[in-house]
Amino acid sequence: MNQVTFIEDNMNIIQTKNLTKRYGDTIAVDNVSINVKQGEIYGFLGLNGAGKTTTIRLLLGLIKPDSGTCKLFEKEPKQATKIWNDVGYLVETPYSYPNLSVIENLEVIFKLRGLSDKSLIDEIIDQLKLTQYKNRKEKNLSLGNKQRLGLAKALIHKPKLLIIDEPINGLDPAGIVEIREFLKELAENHNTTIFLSSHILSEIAKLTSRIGIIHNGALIKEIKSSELHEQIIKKLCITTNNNEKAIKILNEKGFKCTTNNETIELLRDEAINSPEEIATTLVQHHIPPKKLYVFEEDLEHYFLRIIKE
Amino acid sequence: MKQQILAISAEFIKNKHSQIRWVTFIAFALAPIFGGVFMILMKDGGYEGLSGAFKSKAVMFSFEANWQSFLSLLSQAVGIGGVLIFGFVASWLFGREYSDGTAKDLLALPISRAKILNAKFIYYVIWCIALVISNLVLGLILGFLIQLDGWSTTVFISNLKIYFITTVLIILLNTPIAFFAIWGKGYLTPLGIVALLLVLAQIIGAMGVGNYFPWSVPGIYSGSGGEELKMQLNEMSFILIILTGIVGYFGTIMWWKYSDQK
Repeated sequence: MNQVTFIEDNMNIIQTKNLTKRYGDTIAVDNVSINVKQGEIYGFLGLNGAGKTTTIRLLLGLIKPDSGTCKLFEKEPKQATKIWNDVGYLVETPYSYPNLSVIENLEVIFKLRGLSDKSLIDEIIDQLKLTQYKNRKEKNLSLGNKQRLGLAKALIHKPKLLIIDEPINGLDPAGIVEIREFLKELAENHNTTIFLSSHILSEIAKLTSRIGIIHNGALIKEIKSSELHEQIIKKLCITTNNNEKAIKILNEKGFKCTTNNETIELLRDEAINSPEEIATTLVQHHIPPKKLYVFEEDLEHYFLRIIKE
Repeated sequence: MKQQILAISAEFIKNKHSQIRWVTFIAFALAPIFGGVFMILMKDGGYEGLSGAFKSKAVMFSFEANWQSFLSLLSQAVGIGGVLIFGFVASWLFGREYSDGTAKDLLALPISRAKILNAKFIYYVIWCIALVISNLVLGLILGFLIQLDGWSTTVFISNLKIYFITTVLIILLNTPIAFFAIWGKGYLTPLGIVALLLVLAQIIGAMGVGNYFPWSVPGIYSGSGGEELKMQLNEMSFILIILTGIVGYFGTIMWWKYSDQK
């Protein structure tokens, strides 16, 4: 059995401090400090080219930082140390040897990881629903099944930390749900810490406990997924034939209004929660609303707003 | 050691269904096959049975239809063809991880990167030795079928020595090809370098200073440049090859260990 790392309660499984990587004049990763605790699913969100993959490569020691530090299990992740027995990873597109079958591809990683329990191969094939394809060559798999094989390679040794780059790329909607549930189960029942990157906020919001937003290499915001809803802009939008008069009346009633083009916007909860009261007031003053609706910012708009701020 | 053995067995799995293996064996087998044809033509009509470049070469090297000439031809095929075929093998083994996109899967594991590369170097040596043994066996079968004259254990052993020393020299010379494969992230760069080296080996060899150009030395040693050129080889010729092999090997290991793997 491979040596594994002893994990204390509340240990920082991933800890980076002012991690910086430059390529010439371009700062790919700019002073990124992240702490990920045991059992957390941390979502790393950013547009393409924001620095997600570079950060993951730094975490895995594939590239060296220009400054700052990176620790896994509170230790410097040096090459060929026992730390890697506890880390599974999938960086960018999940490639495997095209002429080898699913099972042969897993045998390669099984040997390189020095694993001894052969049943691990069948177990992971079963878990990732690859049983019917296990003798199929990788080059003949669908994109979704290639992704599953990539995940199987990353998970065969039951790692305590899983680092995955864009895990739902190429998956169909059913596959996305399946992988999401699988990763949730890993974190909840096996206490696996998961660090995953994505450019789709709505997707990682369903899976992660915390989200870090990276833009132009810098970590610009960290937020608990449970608090995400509070960050989303909600407003009551009204259009009338006489916006000026409508604003005056609403102000008199104690509703604070702003205008955006031809639309009156009310941001406070008391307005958002009682649109019928506002509609009644306007009708009573002979300014019936032409349009009245509650606007709720979707997650992708929220993400774009954050990176523009 | 256990990790090293596991890495070698992983390398065997990786190459299990590789078509390239058979391509290299077939390409390399052309040498004994054409050597055999050469001998048949000479056997029937001496130099008059030949034409063009074959005839000039046969006259220049005083080839005869006998075992000495045939075994010498086999060594020369390794000395020149080996640069190409062994270089192709090294390019494939080391460059495929980038072409298949699997290199990144090998870099953050409990096994050292050096052991993974060592497994590749060992597989490369096994592959090259299998190639020369298969050519030798094929050559012997053809030689006996053609019923060449002049077989003796002494002739066989002396040629066998040249054959395998030439093999070792070429094997050593291709460690820089492994470096170019991982530096160039694929097999196109090293294949380009192999082609370049092959051309340079011929030009520099023809200029008469090939004894100091490592990629010319195996060809000269195998006798492809004639006895006069072979006499020019000295200790430095072989030391340069050993140094090239060492620099190539450690360069490959160091590059994978210390450079950024983007």
